[in-house]
Amino acid sequence: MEKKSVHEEVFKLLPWFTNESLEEKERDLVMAHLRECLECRKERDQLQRIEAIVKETDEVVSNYRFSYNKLLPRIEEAELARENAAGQNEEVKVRNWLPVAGIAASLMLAVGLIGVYQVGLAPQPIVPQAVATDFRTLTTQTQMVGETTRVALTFEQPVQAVTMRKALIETHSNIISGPDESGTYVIEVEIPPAMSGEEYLQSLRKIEGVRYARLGE
Amino acid sequence: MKKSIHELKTSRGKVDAEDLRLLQRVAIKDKVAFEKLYARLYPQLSRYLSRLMRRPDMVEEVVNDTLFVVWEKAEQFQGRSKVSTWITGIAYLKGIKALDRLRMMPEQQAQSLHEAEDIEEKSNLISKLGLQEWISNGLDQISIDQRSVVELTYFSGYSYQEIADIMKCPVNTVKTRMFHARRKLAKLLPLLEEHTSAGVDIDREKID
Repeated sequence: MEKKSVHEEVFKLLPWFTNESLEEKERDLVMAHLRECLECRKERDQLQRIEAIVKETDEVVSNYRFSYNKLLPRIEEAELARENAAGQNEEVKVRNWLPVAGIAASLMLAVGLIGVYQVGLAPQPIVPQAVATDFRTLTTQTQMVGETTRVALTFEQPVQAVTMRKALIETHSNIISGPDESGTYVIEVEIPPAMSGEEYLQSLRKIEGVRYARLGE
Repeated sequence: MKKSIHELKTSRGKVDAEDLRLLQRVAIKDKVAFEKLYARLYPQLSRYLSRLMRRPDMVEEVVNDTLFVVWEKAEQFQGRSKVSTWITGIAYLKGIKALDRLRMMPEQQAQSLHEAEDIEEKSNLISKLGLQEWISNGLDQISIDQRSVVELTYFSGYSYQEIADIMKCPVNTVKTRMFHARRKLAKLLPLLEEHTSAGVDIDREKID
C-alpha cells in the first residue's frame, strides 16, 4: 500500500483504534504508522479526549421495571390476538371444508338411494357389517396419548354440516381425508395426556352424530 | 441452509452466550427470560436512543417498540452477529422511523425550527456550558447517522464492522460518517478545552 493511502486508511481507523475494537492486523498497521506520523498522533490524542469527555457525560438511566411494566400489556394483547387468530384459522379450515363435505355426503346419499331404488333391496347400513360389529367395543387399541394421531370417525348418515362442524371443534381436530364409501372421515387429533386412547375413543363416540370411532386411518 | 435459533451456539464470550441463551427462551415465549433480557439491554438501548434521537420523551417508547420486535421475532435471529448487535440494529431503525414520523407532524416541524434556533444560540455560549451541554450541543450539530456512529463507537465500543451491521450500510460508509462527525466535533473541542481548563483553574483557586 502507498504511504498516502496508508495514512488515509489509518486516519479513518483511529476512532476504533482508541476504542480497542480493531483486529490485530489493523492494530499493527495503525501502531506502525503512528510511530512515524505526527498528524495521526495528534488526531489520536484528540480522539482520546473526545472519547473521555463523551464517556464522562454518561446519561443517567432509570430502572428498567417501570418501562417494562408498560410493555407487558402490549405483549399480552399480542399473545391473545395470536391465540384468537389460531382459533379462527381452525374454524376457517373447517368452514372451507364443510361445503365440499356436504356436497360429497349428499352425492353419496343420492347415489345410494338411486341404487336402492333400482335394485329394489331394503336399505343396507352405510357402515359395513364388519365395521359395525366393532361399534363401541372396549377392544384395546394402540394408544398414542399426548401425540397427534389419526382417528377414523364415522358419522350418522346423512351427516349434517352443523353436526360435523361441532364435532371437529369439540375435538380440536383437522380433517385429513374422507369421506370413504362408508361415510368415514380420517381426522387428526391430539389425545389429552390424562386419557388413554380407548377412553378418548369412547368420548368421541359420545359426540352427537358420531356413529363410530377407531384409531388409525 | 437457514439455521433455527435453537441450533445456534456462541463462542463470542460470556455476555453474548447469555444473551443468546435468553433469546432462545424468548423464541419459545418465555416471559421470565424476556424480562431478564429486557433488564440486561435496557440501559444500553436507553443511552443509545437518548443520544441518537435527542428526544428524551420518546426514548422509552422506542425502547419498548424495539423489545416488542424482539419478543415477536426472536425465532428469526440467525446468529450472523452478536445478539446485542442485532437488537441495537432494530433500535436504530425504530429510532429513525420515530423521528421521521415526528417530522411529518406540522407542529413538530415548527418546534424543530425553534430548537434549531436555540442550538445556534447555544453554540455562541459554549464556553458557559458544562460538559453535558457541550456534548449535547456537539451531537446536535451532526447528522443522525453520524451521531449513531459516534455513539456506537465511543459509548458502546462497537467495531466498525458491527456498526455497519447495525446500520445496515457498508463499512466505508461508517468510516466516512465518522470522519465527517470528527471534523465537526473537533471544531468544538478547542472551545471546550478553554472552558474546562478555566474551570480547573477556578476550582484550584477555590481549593487554595
